[in-house]
Amino acid sequence: MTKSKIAIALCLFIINTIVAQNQPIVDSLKTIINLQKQDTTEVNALVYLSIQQTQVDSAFQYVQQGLLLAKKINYRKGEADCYLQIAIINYYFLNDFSAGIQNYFDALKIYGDINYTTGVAETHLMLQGLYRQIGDYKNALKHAFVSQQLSESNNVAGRAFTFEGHRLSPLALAEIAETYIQMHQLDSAEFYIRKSIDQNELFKGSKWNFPIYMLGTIQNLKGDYKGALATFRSAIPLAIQNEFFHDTLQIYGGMSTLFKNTKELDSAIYYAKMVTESSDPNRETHYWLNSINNIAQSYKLKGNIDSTLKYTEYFHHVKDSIFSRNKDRAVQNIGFNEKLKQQEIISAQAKYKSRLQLYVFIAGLLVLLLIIGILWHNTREKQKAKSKIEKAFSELKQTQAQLIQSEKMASLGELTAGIAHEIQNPLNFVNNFSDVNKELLEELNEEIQKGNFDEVKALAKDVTDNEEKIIFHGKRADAIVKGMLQHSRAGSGEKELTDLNVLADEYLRLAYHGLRAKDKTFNANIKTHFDEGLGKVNVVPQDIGRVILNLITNAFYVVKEKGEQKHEGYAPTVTVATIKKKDKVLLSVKDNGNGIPKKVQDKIFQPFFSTKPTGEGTGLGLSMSYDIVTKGHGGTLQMETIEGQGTEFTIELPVK
Amino acid sequence: MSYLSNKRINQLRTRNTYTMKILVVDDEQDVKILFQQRFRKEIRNGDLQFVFAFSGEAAVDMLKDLEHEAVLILSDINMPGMSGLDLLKFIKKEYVKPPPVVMMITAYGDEENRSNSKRLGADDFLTKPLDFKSLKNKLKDIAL
Repeated sequence: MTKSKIAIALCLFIINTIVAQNQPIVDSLKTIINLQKQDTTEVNALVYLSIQQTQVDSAFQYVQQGLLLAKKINYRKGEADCYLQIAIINYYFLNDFSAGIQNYFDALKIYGDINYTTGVAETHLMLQGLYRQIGDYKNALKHAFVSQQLSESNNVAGRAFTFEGHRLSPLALAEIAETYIQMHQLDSAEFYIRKSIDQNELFKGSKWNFPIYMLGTIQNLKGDYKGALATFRSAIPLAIQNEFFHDTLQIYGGMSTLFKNTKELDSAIYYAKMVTESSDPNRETHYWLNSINNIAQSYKLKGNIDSTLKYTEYFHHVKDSIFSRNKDRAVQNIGFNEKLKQQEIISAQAKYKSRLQLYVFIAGLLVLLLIIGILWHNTREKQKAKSKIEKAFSELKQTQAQLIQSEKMASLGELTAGIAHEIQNPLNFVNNFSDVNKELLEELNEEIQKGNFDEVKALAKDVTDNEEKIIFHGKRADAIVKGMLQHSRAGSGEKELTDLNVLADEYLRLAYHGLRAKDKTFNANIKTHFDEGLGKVNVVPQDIGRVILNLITNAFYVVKEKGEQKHEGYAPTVTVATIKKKDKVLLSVKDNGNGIPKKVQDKIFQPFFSTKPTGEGTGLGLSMSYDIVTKGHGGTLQMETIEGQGTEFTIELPVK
Repeated sequence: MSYLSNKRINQLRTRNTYTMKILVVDDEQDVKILFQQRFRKEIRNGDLQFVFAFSGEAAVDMLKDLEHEAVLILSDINMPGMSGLDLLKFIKKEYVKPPPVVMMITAYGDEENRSNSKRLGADDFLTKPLDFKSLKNKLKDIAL
């Protein structure tokens, strides 16, 4: 504990020296401040003025004023200087280590930000002292080394209000040595103190005495009393030349300890008394106590009981008062350590939080990238899919057109035989009646020659009647051919007023004969209930014809199928009926087949659904019919079925 | 052309002492006028007598009325409802003694209808368009 005061004394000494020496400057500083220019000069003046103060309150007041102004005019270096000064006040004058560390770090951050090496090196050097004092040797060494290396490589010298004009490197080396002394690593301490001495820092033109004194102390501790004495002796003239009065006392104190150790008791008492008589126990307590202790112990060894008692009491009296101060400090240190730990926890938490935030941010970014990637991929896939779909769609449209055409051709194929039969019959009549008329006309000529005019009249009437038959059947054949052409025509026709009864009848016959042509054994009853008052309906004849044909063909197919199952007394029957309602017409095609099973009822209007064996149906008949009736004509196509009894399809078309 | 045996023709001729009617069955109603025109002389002279039925079912009804008369039946095959072949089957089943002569007519001279007709006991098979000259000769052979 005694030794730790040495380095503090060093700094204090420097500062106090400055205070003592620069008193005349105070007035000029106050003049600058009174100008109220609110500039960097004013900030600097306030910092220096704060340093000049012997009272903590006024020191604080000036530096706080400087800090506010520095922040206001955004003078970063000035702001850091203020923090440094506040740290010094908190640490040295108020013993508030926690606040001191905080202020040092505030200053350090700003100096670092603005790349002000001198400030950085100074602050590290100050921090190391604080850490050593609270027993944190690790951090003390760390900051000392940082400061030392920074100072040596940049040849940093301290500013007036810190380590006035002196290179920081030898100072830092001395501080390192001091820390090692406290750690009882005397070899390391000697190594660094010799390095400090080698750097040959001068004070007032002569070698700096402090590291030499330190070396003596180390030698003394190591038991090299001879070497220590020589060292101390070489330090004394330097201290005197440097006008470091306190340093001289330090050396005398060290020498008294040395002589005590070497049992040169008179010398020990002599040097110790030099210290005690020349120093103030309240200010240089540590030297003083050490010296009093040396005197007391020396008298004890000499057997001078009275003096021993006197100096021992004196020692204890002063020590008690110091002890109570130390106790206060110890209590404060506990609080400080707690505070420090809390700050560490808080900073660790903040670090963790910021790291967490960073991770969350990175994770978020990754997720975002992933989403963007997926979206980009999707868009590309969509574009690909779109072009594929478009291609497929155009192919599908083409195929659909082909399918519709093939469905038309398929139903045409079913019709061909029926058409042949239908054309053959009227053609036969045309031929037959023509033949008959030829015979009748020959007969007529004969009767004219005979002059049998009654017979001529009768014959002429027959010829005329027959001619009407010829015309009728000729027209009939013509209509069938036209209907066939209409049916196979690919393009959609125009709507025209059409007699649905005629259309239904025509396709009924075509379908029947078509089926008969394929299967000679097939037969079915055909019933028609045509409403004579149906009137003409505006439809596309070939389209509706195709629907009727499809429904009738299906009806024939199912009754044929049931007929082949040899039901007792089964009479295959297909009924086609038309009914006129108020604003619509109904056309129904009914069969007495097996009905449609429930499980396929929903599917019958779907494209490519077919109950017929492969190759017999395209599976498009009903779906096309459905489209023609609903989309093409705004009507409905409904189905009612009873299993085992039959099915009825009803086309409902609106009439305008 | 005809596969009617001389024996069968002679058999029919003996029945000609009774009134003989030719029943024409076809769903085309103009057939009636055509036959009446074609056989106008024969009808006028009383050589041939025609009755017409426009469906298989109508033919069956008509045959009941003509029960004791000698009948030659000329039937179309392709008719809705009861077809010519159904009618042929019915006649051959119901009218065993004496079986009427049944000639089948169809628009398509295809082998399937021809062989079916033969199997069911048709006496002759004619194709549309009818050759009325040869038909006239056949009918005269049978009826006269």
